[in-house]
Amino acid sequence: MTARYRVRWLELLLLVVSGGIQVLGFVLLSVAQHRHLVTSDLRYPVVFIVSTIALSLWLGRAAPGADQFLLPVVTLLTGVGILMVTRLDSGLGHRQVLWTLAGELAIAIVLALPRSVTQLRLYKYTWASIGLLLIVLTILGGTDINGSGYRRWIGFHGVYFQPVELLKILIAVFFAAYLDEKHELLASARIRLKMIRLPPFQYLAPLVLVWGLSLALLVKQNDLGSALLFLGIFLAMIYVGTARAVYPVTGIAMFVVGAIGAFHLFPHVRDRTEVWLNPFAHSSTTGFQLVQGLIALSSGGIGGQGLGLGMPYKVPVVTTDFILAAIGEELGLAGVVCLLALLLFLVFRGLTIGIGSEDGFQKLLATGLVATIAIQTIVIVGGTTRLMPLTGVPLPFLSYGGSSALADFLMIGLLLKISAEAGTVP
Amino acid sequence: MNVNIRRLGAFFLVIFAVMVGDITYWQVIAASSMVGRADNPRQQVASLEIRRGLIVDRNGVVLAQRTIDAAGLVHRSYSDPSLSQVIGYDSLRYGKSELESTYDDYLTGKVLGTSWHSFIDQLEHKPVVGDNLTLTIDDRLQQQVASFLPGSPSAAIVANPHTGEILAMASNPGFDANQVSADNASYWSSLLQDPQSPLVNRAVDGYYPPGSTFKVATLSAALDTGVETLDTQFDGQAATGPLTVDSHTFCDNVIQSCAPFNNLPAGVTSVSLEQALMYSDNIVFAQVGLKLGKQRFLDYARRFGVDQTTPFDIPVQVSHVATPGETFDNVQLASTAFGQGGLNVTPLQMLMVTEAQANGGVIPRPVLVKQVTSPDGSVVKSASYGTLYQPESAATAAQVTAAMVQVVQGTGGSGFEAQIPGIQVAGKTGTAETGGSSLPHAWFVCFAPADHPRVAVVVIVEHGGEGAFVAAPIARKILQAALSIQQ
Repeated sequence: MTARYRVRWLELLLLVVSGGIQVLGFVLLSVAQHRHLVTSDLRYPVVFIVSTIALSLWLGRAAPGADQFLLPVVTLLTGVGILMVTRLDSGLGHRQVLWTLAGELAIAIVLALPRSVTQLRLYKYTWASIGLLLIVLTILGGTDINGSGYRRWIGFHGVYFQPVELLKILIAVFFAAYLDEKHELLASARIRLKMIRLPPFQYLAPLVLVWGLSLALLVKQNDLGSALLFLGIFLAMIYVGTARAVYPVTGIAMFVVGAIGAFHLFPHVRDRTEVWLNPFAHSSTTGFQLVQGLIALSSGGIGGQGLGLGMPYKVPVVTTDFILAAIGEELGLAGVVCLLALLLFLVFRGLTIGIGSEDGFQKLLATGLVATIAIQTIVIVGGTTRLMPLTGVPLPFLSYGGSSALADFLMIGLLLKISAEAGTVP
Repeated sequence: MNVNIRRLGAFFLVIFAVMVGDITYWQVIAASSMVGRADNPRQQVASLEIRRGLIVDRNGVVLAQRTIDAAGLVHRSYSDPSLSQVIGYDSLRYGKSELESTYDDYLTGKVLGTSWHSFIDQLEHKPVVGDNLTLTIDDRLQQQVASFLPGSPSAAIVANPHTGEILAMASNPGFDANQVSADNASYWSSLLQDPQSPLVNRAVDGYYPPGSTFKVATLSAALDTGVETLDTQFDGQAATGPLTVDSHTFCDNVIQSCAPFNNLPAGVTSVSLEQALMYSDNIVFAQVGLKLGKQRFLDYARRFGVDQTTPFDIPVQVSHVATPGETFDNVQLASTAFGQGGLNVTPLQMLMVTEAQANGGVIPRPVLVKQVTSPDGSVVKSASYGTLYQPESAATAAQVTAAMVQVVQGTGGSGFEAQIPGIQVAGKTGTAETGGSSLPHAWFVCFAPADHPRVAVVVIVEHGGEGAFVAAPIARKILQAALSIQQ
């Protein structure tokens, strides 16, 4: 690799804009909280922006042709996330900044590795095995740090990690590799059943096995949000990989059957469905969080209460699952729509990178990674706003969560690398 | 593959659009109903941060203010418990009532002045300072009026008959608004369970048959229409009864005497209309009502404000000339003319009938809040003084006043207990039967001095007995106190 150094001017310009917005946000927060500006409050955005600019300059050497929109958009989303988390709990804000710095380091390393993304496909069963093994280890020897009754973290020396966040990337890699290998077979129709052409389901076996195993482990951990996310990734990727609608349709049909079964088998699934349908009947017990979240959203109105001027801390678990309620209350509908537009833009950018790539595996991987971001957003935003039953997953880039931030940045790292290899220059 | 990636993108676009629609629903369309929910802690916390305005009497005596106790909790505190049903309470748990409710937007500073100061304060998120209310109440008089009333259910209003300003308004039994505003749950439930309903302001929400005090209105109608004059004579059975209307006989206890019904002293068998008011002769007023006829009688009742919503600073019960749904036949007409039948009124309504006589036939708009001032002292809102109704001519009012003076000052007048040495008092007693074995309601309406009225008073004691002996002495004390304060 003897690529010439190139300053990524567009990215730098957008980063300056993104940084300006973040600094403005922190200035407003500081004034709201202290009635005047406390300069030390600006240390988080300054550290974050300086490190991102450094990363951009490093990309000019490591991957000069990589997409120049991804990093500024991600920086703005993450910056708003740090702003809201800091506003809710300044101690958590401090930790979040450290995790995002680690995430930027991960991006730098991914882009610095001399090997191609395509080589990931060679070890697809290894990745899947590592991911599943991590979950098994978590179930056996993990920690339950939030008192939910389930071990979802692996920790050492005070640093805790949620393996499920890594698993979603590994599963996307596995699916992409497998589907690219077998997509001709899967797209063909071998079996005829009278008028209906059925696809060769037998080739799906390894895919369904890996997916089924991860699903079983997540259900064991009562992590229904992640289970739903994995189902979504599976369906999106199999649709793109086989070009046949019969797979997602079959998948959704099976999901509906499974969901009805789960409704009858597991009391907590029944409880959640009941809360989803009638939250106001349970507003002081099981529906408390959902109702308080909706009240927070409503208090925001169109323009929001203003940073630091609402009471989003009245909503339980507001820094992670319910960060949208806090954003909605203080930044209003305007702020929420801007952030959702940024997330959608990010998704579209990722899909464009996938389309631009020559390699089938990279296409599928890019699609799988942004589908993860999109579906995760839909699951938690839909859950917060009563579009679907509430299951807890982080809102990408915005919720507090170290593993989540690190995994999200790793995904962006992979997307940047795919775009660099495809040579797509905006 | 690329086609499918694009379709997946379109799918996400649609889902995101649905999400934006849903969030718009919660943040805009459903927002006001969600924000108003009782389990939203925001409004409670926000309301504690508002510097709620003061309520002071006409002389600047503080009646209600925001205080912070030793534990740092914000309370509304009230200095005169006799005003609890007028000012109301302000409780996070039990809501707001009376002036605290009707003037809430001013007290919480929601009615913003257009000054740059308030705009900049709002931008800087400074605590909101509410506007102050100045009442027409004179708290010195208020406290005396409250002390004159018995502890049993009763009410009194003192007003300036020319301006309509309410100088005192008391209702017993009262309650301590401080306890309600402090969210005292056991106290609140004891108030709700009390059969005497202490939360009710009987002066404006009490709903009683007015008894003979309503003869003032009947007399006004008869004189104003020219149906009768004060000199019209009623002799023999026309004065004493019995009187038969459509097969119903008033005072059918003929074997003994009609005295409890015609109220005439022993030996009096002939009266003028003026004397009929003085003695409070029901037989005469039943005939006057019949002679007026249903249409003119109802018309005059309405001119005095009966069956109409009275505009006031606190909610007022509407008075009704007949029980809704019942036919108003001649028997009803005759009974209503002397204040019984299906007629039910508030003490405020009887005050208005009295004010018309004292104020040349004009009922002034009743005023309780003199003005609303912003924290810097500028006037935000002034009371709208003026004519509410003009039921009769000034000449009629003067004639009725003359008859009402006879009630108090005349020999054998039923209102003699209201006499004040050196001052002519015009008044009318009322003893309203309520059926059953309980005592009648005791009423008295009056104003003084009769030639240049300065105060009008209405007093009611629920099931107190004879208006002449129970309500009139209270009214006399109130008149004396009011006149001495006004000098």
